[in-house]
Amino acid sequence: MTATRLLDGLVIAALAIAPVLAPAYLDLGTRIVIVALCALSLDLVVGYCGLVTLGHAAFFGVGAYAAGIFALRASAEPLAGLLVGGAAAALLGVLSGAVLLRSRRLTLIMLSLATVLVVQETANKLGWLTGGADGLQGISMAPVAGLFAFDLFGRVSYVYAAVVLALGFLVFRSLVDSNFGRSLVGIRENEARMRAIGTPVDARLRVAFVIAAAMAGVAGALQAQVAEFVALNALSVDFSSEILIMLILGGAGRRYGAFLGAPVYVVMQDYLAREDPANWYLWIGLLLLAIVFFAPGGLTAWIGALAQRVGGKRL
Amino acid sequence: MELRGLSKRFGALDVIRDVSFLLEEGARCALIGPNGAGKTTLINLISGRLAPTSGEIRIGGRNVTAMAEAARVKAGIGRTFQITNLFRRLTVGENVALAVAEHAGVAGRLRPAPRMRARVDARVSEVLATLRLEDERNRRVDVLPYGVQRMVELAIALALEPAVLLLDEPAAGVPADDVAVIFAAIEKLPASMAVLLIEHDIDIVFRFASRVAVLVAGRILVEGTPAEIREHAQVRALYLGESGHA
Repeated sequence: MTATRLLDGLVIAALAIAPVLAPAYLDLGTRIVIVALCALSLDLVVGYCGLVTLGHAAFFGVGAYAAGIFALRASAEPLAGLLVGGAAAALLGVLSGAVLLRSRRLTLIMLSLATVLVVQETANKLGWLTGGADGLQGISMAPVAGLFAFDLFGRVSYVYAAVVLALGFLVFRSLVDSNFGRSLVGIRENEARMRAIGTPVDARLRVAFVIAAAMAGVAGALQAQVAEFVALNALSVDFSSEILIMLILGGAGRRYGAFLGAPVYVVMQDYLAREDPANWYLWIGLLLLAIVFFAPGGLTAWIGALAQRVGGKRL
Repeated sequence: MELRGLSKRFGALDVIRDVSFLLEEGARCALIGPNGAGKTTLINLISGRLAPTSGEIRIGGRNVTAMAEAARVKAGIGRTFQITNLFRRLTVGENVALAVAEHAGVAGRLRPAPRMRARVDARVSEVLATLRLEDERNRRVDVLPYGVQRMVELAIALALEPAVLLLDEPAAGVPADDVAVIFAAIEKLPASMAVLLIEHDIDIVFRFASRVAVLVAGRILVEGTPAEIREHAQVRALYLGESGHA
């Protein structure tokens, strides 16, 4: 437990130190922090509940649109916008969870794909509200908590996003360390047996699903606020897949998977898109293959095994 | 627990036919019958894994027939599985803790609570001590010998403190030495707990049970004390045979 607390502290410390180490890459850092929060929320569903879904972008996108529309039409105050984004995504989580969580495996993957496509097309058709294919434009955010105005260098954006991610991690940590988190692991490991010990499996999965949706919605809201724009592809299947790839890369159900997967994926994407724009997806694919074959539990598991060999600690 | 006219049909196949059965508080009953008689199906109907085609299941006078499996556990039914059904990648302690937390009604708590955790851990220790599993507490289930896995199966059921415990061949596939350990544990179950045992070893059945029901082709052929069953001509002819072993 002490080692885990130390690593938890290291994660938060890394968020604080990163902009000092790489001040020229604050925009990239902000992007990493936001997708890491989204991947962290997906980890609750994929890693802890054992439900594979390709629809997570629906929650991210709805959170982004809700926060963007709220900023345009109601209040430009960012913290209120975060709550609105999280609440909108949670509502979608309640509605879609009632249908999606009746199925498992391939059916669930297909239904989650359908969900994100329906939500994306709905956003596209509601052009008067969402800006349609042109995206939601004209957002101008007020200073965070009335004190910190977003600056051109992206310092406030980064710190704001990093603080939200740190808070998101505290919520995530509290959940996975709770009895609730343990029962989710039980469901992942043997759902039928959990029913036979009296676990209301469906209700518990629904709660986890809605919490994950809300977290993804907050990540989307952050994205809308720091970019002051929402693109239609925030709701895309592609983005869902990217988040899932990040999680697999980092290690699903392993506490720090999102924190490793997101930076590795985004930095590689940024580097390869610049160096080899025609083939960068090929390199990402090869990396994923390497992970699947040589480190099936993701980078976290691989580093954990390495650390165990050296010092007997497990990540 | 009482079964009233319970039936289960899979398509054109009647697997359980009009079974009525009373299991009183603290009873030690056994259900025997040839392979395919419907014993495990009956357990699955009682535990809620399968829905009956007709009939009623009552616990303490309360009709639980429409209840889902999880709700029936809360109503007091616990079971073990014929084929070990555990959380294989978790430790023995974690396996039992899931059941303890669920039974204590704290498994859905969203925040870590050290005091509650300590209470769960203490109860896990008690259950493991009952079955002499303390030394295995931190070992992953999938590396344990099969006999120990069967004990963990029993430990999970005991952690639920059921009013009615359904034991589906608890010693199936277990080496002879471990069978004695498992049945020593079963014999020490709380006196108030009603136990329904499915077991193929007729010697164990006659030693354990005060009442025995014989299930043949989905119907209870006869029910009585071990002595009555032993002497029942139809049971001898149809089921026990000359060897006296099922």
